[in-house]
Amino acid sequence: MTTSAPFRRFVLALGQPMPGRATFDLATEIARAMQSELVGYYAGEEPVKALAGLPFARELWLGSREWHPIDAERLAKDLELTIRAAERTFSKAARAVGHSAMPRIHRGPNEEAIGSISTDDDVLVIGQPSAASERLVRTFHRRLEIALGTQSSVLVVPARLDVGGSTILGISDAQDEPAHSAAFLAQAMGGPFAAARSIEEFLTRHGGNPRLVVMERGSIEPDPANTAAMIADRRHVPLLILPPWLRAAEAARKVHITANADRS
Amino acid sequence: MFVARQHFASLESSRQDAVAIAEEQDLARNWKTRDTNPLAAPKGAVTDSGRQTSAPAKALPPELLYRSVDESALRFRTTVELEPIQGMFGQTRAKEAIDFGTQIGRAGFNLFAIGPSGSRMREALKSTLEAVAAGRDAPQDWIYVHNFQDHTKPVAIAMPPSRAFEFRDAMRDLVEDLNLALPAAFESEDYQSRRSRLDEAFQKRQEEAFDELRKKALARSITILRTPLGFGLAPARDDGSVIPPQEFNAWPEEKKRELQTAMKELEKDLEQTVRQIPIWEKEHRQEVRALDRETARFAVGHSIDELKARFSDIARIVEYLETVRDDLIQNVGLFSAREEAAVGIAVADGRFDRYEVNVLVTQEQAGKGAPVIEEAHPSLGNLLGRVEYLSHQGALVTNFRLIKPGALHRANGGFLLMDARSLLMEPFSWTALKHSLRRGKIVIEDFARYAGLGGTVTLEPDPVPLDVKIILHGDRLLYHLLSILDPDTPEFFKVLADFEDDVERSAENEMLFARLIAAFARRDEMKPIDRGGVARLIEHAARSSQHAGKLTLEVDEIRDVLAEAEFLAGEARRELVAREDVDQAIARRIRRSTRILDRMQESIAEGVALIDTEGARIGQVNGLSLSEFGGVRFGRPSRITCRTRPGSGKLVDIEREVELGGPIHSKGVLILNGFLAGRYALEAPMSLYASLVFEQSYGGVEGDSASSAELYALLSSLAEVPVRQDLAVTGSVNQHGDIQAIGGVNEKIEGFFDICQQRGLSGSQGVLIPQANVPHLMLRRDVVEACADGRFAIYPVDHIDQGLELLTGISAGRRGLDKKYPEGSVGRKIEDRLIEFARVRQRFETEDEASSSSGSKP
Repeated sequence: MTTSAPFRRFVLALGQPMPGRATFDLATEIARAMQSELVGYYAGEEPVKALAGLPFARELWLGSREWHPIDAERLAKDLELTIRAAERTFSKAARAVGHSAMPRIHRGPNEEAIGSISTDDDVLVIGQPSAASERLVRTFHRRLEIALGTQSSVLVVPARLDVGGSTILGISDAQDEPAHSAAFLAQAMGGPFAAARSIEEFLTRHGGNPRLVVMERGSIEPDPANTAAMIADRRHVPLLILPPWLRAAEAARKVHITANADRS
Repeated sequence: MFVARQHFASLESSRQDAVAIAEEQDLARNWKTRDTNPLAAPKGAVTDSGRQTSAPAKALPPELLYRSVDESALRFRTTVELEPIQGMFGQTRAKEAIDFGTQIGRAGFNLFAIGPSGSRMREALKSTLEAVAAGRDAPQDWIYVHNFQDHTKPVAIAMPPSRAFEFRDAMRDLVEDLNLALPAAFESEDYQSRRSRLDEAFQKRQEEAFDELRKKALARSITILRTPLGFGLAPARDDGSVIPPQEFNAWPEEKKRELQTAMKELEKDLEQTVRQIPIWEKEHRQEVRALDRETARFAVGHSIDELKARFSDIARIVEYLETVRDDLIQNVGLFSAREEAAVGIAVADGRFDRYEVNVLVTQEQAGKGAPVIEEAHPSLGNLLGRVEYLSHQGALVTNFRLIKPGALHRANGGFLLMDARSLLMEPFSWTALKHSLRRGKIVIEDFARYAGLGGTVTLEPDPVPLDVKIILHGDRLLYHLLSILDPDTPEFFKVLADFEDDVERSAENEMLFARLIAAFARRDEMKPIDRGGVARLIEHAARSSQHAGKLTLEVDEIRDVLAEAEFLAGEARRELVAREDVDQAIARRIRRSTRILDRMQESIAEGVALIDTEGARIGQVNGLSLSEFGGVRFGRPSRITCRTRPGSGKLVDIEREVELGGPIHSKGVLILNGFLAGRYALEAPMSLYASLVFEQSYGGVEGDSASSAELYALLSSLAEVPVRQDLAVTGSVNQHGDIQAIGGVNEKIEGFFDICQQRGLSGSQGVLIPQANVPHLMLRRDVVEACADGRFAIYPVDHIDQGLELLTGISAGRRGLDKKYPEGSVGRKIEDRLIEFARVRQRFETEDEASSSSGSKP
């Protein structure tokens, strides 16, 4: 009998731009329910530092909308401050849901590096930034592409959540992996579970958005990043996208054993 | 001169004492012959006041000392057979005033009921008001609702009676319905698709601008980077990665310049795009808001219209519902933040408080008719209503739901009954009441505002129109003081209901009083009272009224005596309350409250307080005073003495000199001077110096009831005639020597009787009372029995001469044709003595003049 959680770690992609507060909250909440570790991964320092090294580098400040020369030393301090701020937000969210372990933040040179540290039983958490200006640099898309290119599960959290209830919805045609995972998550998070072939079908039956949608990566091919971003934009509902390797039978067995262990 | 006068005074004093001793012995022998004294003035002689002199005072027969109830006229055996009296008894005048005051609808015709405290005014008023109110229509309900334009000014709305709760419940249902309907509307496919279209359009617009910028940058091998504080532009490779500084530095200068130029152009574009973002966002928000409002308008429209139809008869409610509709549409977001589990109990979290209805006053739970409210604690808040506060994170917060009604709100359209003293004791309540009546509306204002203090920001609820009849009740002094000190009083209280203290003691009224006693017994679930018990209570009511021919209307005390008598009957295991129970109850009540009297009598018995009850003394009279402690009155004898000598005509009231005498007492003493001069100093100027004192009196003396006793002492001293000490005297006197009525005659007689009884009644002891007080006599049974047996006597006197003859055994005398008093009469002795004083004075003045003339020679 196993007591291990199906997801060992929740790795939250941090950097510029930062994901919205909802991303921290949801990631910590699910991680607590699944007894998973919380990890932050701050990426993207390298290009900014490279920019600071250029002789005529300037930046357009969003606050004042004025141009200012970039000072490498100040930039380094700003980066440190940003990381500390992210750490505080992450810790606060973890405390709020009662997660036993405080999150650790790793640093990486660029967005792509998250792929190298992720494992099969990780969940990479990609939060959509809330400000419209953040779309200018397409970091969210880039992070999604990288995350969906790994063997990890991916939790996509839209900037604006429109959650109408506590149902965990599994999108599947049959009793396969998304349904099992959704059932397991629902049990762990103390909410109802539902299975449907699509979000629209669920909406027709229930009227309101589910709390979380669990789906297979295969269901959003061939352009998973764009499709996931589009669902996030349109439905304002978080998505847990399972990797292709997590086959239904294996997942079902794993979830079944774990759920039974929890019940006993 | 000063030394000579002192010497004279000393000689005079010694002589007075010597004469007194001799004459005391003669007087003592002659007591029993007083009625046949040949020197007594003939019956029918004219006094100097011009009226006929009275016959010599005779002791009153026992039947005039106590008026018993004719029990044969009480046609019942016990109070069970009596119909309890309803309404007010013996208060015809007050009842007329109350009837008028409650009927008239004009402004300012409020009622002020005054009377003695134990007259059950409050109960009488309340029962009368309730009867009047029952025949009137119930007034409107009042509610407070949120003011969506200015939350600090809640809106007051009048509703037909008993509909306030209906509207409150309807609003709660509305919110519960909308709590389901609104989220459903916003989750509907229609809304979602329209919203998605808006979002997509917004994103598309952004994306197009961003894409164009990104492509433009890429075409120039430049990438846009997000820095901690904003955006930057950097040279990029084909894969989008930033060219490291070392590589860039190795570039030819020309290439660097080209890049820099391109970057400058792009910077402008970037800046332009970034500036455009908030504009797009604002436009998008407005579009979304418009969609939300449209959706909300559709969702709430049906529910609001339904409510409007239901309350279409109340224009203000219809108007209010329109403001609710607007607010729901404006604040539809309130309904979106909810959980599935919370549906149905959404109102509990406070988000929808603004749509609540504060039912301030409703007639739903009240009885039919107009309200009759009694406010026992009319503080400012209890009168005008108040705004309460809740502590929220250390700050005090409030809203329209925390507006609480005051007595004026609850009584609006009916009657408000208050104790005037309670009202006046509360800071600002009287002023607030006047303001409300003058303005004709109730404005809720807190204490700080009335006191002119700066308070916290609070609510200013809509004033509520006021239509109330105020009924105040209190004692007379309070009303008259208020009328003097606050000239507004008559403006607001135009109807005075003056409750009587007593009622005539006729056979009919005795029967009504019996029914009143029956009402007490019935209401308080007491044992029945038999006829004797009722008769004794009626007699006690007469004694309480200080008049044998009246019955007190301060019936609270009668009720208390009845309660105690009923208790005693219970102790004795009797089913009926009898006369003896009432007797015992009265005796116990007196005993409980006369500890001080007992101590006083003890001090007299021990000879500490000097009171003679036998023999005779010159210039010494037993006066009678009345003491009152905590509402209990008792009489006690006080020795009054007087010394006289030649002087300048000054009568010294020692009490006044040492400021122990009150103004009325001083007035009584000054009247003596007028009597003395007008009667005896016709031929020579008043040349005496007399000092009067209440011996062993260490507290204040007030009232003129001892002025006749003082006059007897003065006349005795002047005439050098001793006064009987077995008699005590009460009564005031005027300048003509007429004896005038005093208060507390029963207690005064009993006070002297008790002392005499302690020492053994001699048969010669008694009390001189004013003739006018005879109808007031309701003496204790033991006093009456002693008088009946000839062991004690009550003498009514109407002129000082009558008393003087009784006290001295010598005729007061009447001037004859020679203008002289008869030889041997008291009058002659006084006149002779005053002439002697005048001569002495003249001689001293002559000697003074001579000595001052010789002393002035060189």
